[in-house]
Amino acid sequence: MIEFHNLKKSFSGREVLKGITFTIGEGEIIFVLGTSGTGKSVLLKNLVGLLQPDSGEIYIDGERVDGKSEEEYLPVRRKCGMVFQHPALFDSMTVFENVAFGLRKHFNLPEDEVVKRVHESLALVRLENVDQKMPQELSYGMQKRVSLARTVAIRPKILLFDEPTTGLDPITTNAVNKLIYDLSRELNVTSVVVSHDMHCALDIADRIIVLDQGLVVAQGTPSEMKNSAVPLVVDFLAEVDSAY
Amino acid sequence: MGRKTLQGINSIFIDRNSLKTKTYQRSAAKIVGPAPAFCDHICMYVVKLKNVSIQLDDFCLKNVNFELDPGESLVLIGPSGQGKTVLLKIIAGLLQPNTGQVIVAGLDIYKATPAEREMMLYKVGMLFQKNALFDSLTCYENIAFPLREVKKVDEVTIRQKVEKFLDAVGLLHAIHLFPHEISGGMQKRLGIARALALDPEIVLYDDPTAGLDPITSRKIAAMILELQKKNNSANIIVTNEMSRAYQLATYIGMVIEGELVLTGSPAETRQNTDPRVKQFIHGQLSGPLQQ
Repeated sequence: MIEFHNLKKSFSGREVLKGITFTIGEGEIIFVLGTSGTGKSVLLKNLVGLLQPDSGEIYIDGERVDGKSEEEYLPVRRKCGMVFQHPALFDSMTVFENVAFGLRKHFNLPEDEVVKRVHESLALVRLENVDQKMPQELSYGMQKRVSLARTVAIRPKILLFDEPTTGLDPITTNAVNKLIYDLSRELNVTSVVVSHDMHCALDIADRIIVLDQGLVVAQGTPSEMKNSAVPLVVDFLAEVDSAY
Repeated sequence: MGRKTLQGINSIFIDRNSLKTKTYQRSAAKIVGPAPAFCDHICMYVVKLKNVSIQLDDFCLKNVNFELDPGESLVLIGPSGQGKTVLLKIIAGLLQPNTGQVIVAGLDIYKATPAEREMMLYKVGMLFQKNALFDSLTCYENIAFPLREVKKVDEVTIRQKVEKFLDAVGLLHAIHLFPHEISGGMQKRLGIARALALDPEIVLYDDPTAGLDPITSRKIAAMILELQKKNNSANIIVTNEMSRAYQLATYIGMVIEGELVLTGSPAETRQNTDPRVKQFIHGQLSGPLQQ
């Protein structure tokens, strides 16, 4: 489904990605873990064409996507739904309008279809009777759900999450994590989650990729990770234990 | 922490009575200038809140009580929007409660005169959640700023202090860089150095590791503990990360449904039987707390 081959990217002479190679299968939930500044977000931006790699190749559904022009990239980007760390909702629009925004802007759908999709998407994130509320009337956790509904409304094949649980309290963290799992399975989409949170990864990931200083230093299933001797993985696992 | 508010640690309280008396004398001796709002029976603690209540538009805090000694840390946990930051602002002298008494560094701060309160504020350092650094000033200038504003000392002394604090947080090499030129973790450390620049007796940390990866987060918490030990300061720390709460706390309090539930030491908190506390610290989706 998604393949990275020896991906390299530098900024002002500083090499952030030093040769990343891994693949993601269709329908998988993949967590990309690593410390700050290790290239996780740069990897996501390369995937959606917001950055171009210096060298290496990226394939989505067998099609090489790196090096495409902005116009050529649009159909690729429509396969991808991005969920930002913060809800990033339009605060002057109702929940309904927020979720409908992308549908109206990028898809030529009749209004009754827009209404249907908005309600379906809100139901998927377990939100009811909030479509006429303004974002600021909702809790932070509910705003995150609206943000997810907005992303899934365009029916992406790939969901990309940029640190979806960073800064959340333990209950909201687990709620968002469960939602990522439920949505990925219900919609049968491929999910790539960039995160610091090993606990969440162990809970729902099919596989975990660990980046350190621009390289993949470990990858495997949650149970394989639990037995890893890679120092960074051991440090991450110690954090999981210390929270209980 | 007082026996009235936290029954689970009575034994610790009693064992340490003699230490508390010494602490009080040391603490009181450090307070400068006339202080008519001092109360002998209450300045035993470096921070004490007695029956503090506040009503804001969308929520309230009722009857908050706790006491904190030098060298101790109270970590505040709890769901977002329940009042953790409001509590910090009350202690920092930024938000007056409707009722109750707030004693900081021996001063009943909301009964004190503006001049007295200003003196008290010099004893309090605060790290804001988003650091609140001056983005047009270098790391050096960010730390020098409060020293110039408050201490009125010469530039040689300022340079010595700035270098000392930057060294303490491992940022001496970044002395001439601007905040946008350093990483999020470095910005946090700079914010901490600035909060500590005036040698505060009390340091308030609003989510000091928010948004950081767990490895950096653990290192910053270790640094906070080290600096606290060195200065014997009292820390009040807001965090949502339970691993940080356990690492940093002498005591933990959960701000929930308008009250402060003191849950004791990290070990006692892990064993706490309040269903709200259990649900929160284990992140359980079902329980009395609504998402």
